[in-house]
Amino acid sequence: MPFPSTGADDAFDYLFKIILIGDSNVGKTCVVHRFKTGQYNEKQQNTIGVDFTVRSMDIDGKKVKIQVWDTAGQERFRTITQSYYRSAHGAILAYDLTRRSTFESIPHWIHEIEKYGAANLVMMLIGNKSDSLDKRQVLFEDACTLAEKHGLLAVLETSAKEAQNIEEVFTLMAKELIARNTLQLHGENPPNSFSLDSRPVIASPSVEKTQCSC
Amino acid sequence: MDVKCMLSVDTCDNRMTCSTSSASSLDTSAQFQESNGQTQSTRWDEQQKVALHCSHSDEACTCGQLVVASRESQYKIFHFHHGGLDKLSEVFQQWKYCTETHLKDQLADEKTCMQFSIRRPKLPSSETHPEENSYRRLDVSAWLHHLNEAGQVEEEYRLRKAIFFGGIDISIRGEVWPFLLHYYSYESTSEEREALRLQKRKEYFEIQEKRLSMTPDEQKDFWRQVQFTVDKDVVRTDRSNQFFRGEDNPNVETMRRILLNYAVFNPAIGYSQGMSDLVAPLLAEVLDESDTFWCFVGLMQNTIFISSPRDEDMEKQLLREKSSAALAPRGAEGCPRQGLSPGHLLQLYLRELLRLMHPRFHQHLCALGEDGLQMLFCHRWILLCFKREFPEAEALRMWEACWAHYQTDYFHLFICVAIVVIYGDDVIEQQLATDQMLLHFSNLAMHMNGELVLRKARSLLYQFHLLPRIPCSLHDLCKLCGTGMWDSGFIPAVECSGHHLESESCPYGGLVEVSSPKPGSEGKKGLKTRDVFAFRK
Repeated sequence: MPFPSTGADDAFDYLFKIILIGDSNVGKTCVVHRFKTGQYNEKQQNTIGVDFTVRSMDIDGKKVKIQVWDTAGQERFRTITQSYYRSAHGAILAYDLTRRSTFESIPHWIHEIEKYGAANLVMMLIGNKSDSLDKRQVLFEDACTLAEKHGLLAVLETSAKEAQNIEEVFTLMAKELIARNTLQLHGENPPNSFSLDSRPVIASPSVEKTQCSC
Repeated sequence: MDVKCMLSVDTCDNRMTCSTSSASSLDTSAQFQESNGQTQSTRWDEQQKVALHCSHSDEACTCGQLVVASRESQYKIFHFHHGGLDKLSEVFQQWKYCTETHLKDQLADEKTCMQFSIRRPKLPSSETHPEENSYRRLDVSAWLHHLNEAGQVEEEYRLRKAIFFGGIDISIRGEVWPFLLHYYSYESTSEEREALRLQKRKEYFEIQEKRLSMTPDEQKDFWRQVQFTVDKDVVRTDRSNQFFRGEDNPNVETMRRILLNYAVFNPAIGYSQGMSDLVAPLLAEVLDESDTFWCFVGLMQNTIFISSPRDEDMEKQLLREKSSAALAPRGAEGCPRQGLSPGHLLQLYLRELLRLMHPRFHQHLCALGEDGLQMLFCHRWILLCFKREFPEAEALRMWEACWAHYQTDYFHLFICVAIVVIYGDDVIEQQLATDQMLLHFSNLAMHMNGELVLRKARSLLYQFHLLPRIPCSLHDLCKLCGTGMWDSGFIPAVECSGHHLESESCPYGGLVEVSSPKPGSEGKKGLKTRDVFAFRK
């Protein structure tokens, strides 16, 4: 019976809210859809406002509940999506590596996060559509440089279509959030129960070359 | 002994949420107070049964099975140990959406088998609009009946009312929608409409010509601002609709041209994601490209999809408003708030309507503060007129009910309140926070009973019209669409709700009672919230 779940009943060690932002059509919803269902939908309908996805992951024996806030990319939904930045623990900034302009918007998205998000919010960058490398317009090195400049956690190139690096994105984010989290959350603690020491952690070396830790 | 438990699930409405509170009116009138337990028992549609049948399999009664069965006789069996089944049946016994069916030939003290049915929400007749069942769907013969020999609609009000209650048969939607969307006027003759169509077709192709003859620079700009997104969106809009299915479907190309031309026609709005969701059903019914375009223009003009000033502009406007209000008391027309963007006004209306019709929910929103009062969970409902919340057939009924402009131009707000009344109890009971509330409602998308929601919304409108007094904040809610068949219009007493800026005077201030809620505070808070209910540029 699908009772509207508030998450209060099921047990978990951590609850993380992660906001997914970036220009329209970079494949945000497809990334979330792949993460949630393991499937890919070629004709994914556009997102109006904000959509939600919840998935539990097992990370080092801890049950981590991840709430992904998938946002509309179009400029005029900005007012809505901004409202969700504040309560987010992490932000995944997405660009389309076959479209340079979506990468050029990233500093703008970072600025948005800095303006509306919590101070210690963890950011990471993903370059989606790595299945179309022949159309690549953004070099991985450029993404790494940008990430380093802004102190982002990591850069990963992903493909929602071919399921590349999708699990890794969320695992990496979750691990970092656990590492930074001094108190164990029980679903009710506000985000500011985070440690203010937000020194980035070197990402696990198991993830290979399409990832740079900054 | 064998242990069984049976539960049959009706999959089309598996959110068994129901309201215990009907619309409650201004505190003075008791007629809409919460119904008591007795009337509540009539709220359920007992025909929709979900049987739940529990039984125990061992002597000590610690093990057992739960059988969940659908009406199509499919079933699923769950095994329980260590007394788990007892706990579960206790929950079922207390759960308001379950009724225990008492089995014959079984003594009460030795229950080895229990059966429950799930009750679905239903509106008792006392809560439906009194004219609810007096209109059938508008079909061809009924439609022709409304037209005189020249093809004019004889009594527009009666037609709109019939559509409000009964909807339009699919076969004639394409013919009637252009009237509802103000493309054709009701007084026009068939001949005049043909002339108009020709003229409008010419205009349409002029707009298209303008688009196709842009300079390379303009073209580049247009591609970046509009065309890129349109191109991506049209191929992922209403894919499940037969009309748009398949690769290289020419209808998708038509939809694309309409949207691009609209962006040229109305550059202030351009293209906003969501528009393709609105234009697709129009095209699928109206079929002709130019006619669809003009219907879409009408839709954008007559609904809330109006581009609105940016936040900063609005802040300035409010400041101006504040200072001018101090200098000159404004007339009745100025109440509640002139100069607010349409989206923002909607938000205020919705908030006030909830305060009036569902005070418990409104209190919950207030307790959440500004974030809650923004009601972001309604955003997509309003922007796409419930298109993504209900299956298309039900959503289009809602569109028609809204477009009928029967007694109000804001029927979609009544639909919002109806959803909250029917499906929002858990939000209050579990004291859900703002984001959980959004999660709750977004999980409900495509699982709600649209027919029930629409009936409830009509009943709410009826109840609103019975109110002897309405707050000044809602004074305009039922004003713009005319008086209908009555000369007298809708004239309840208006009283100041006290929700104004400190310096703002209310023409209805004379009625304000000493005990009325804290003036200023809430209104001020509300005015600071951002405009989220309109397509913004």
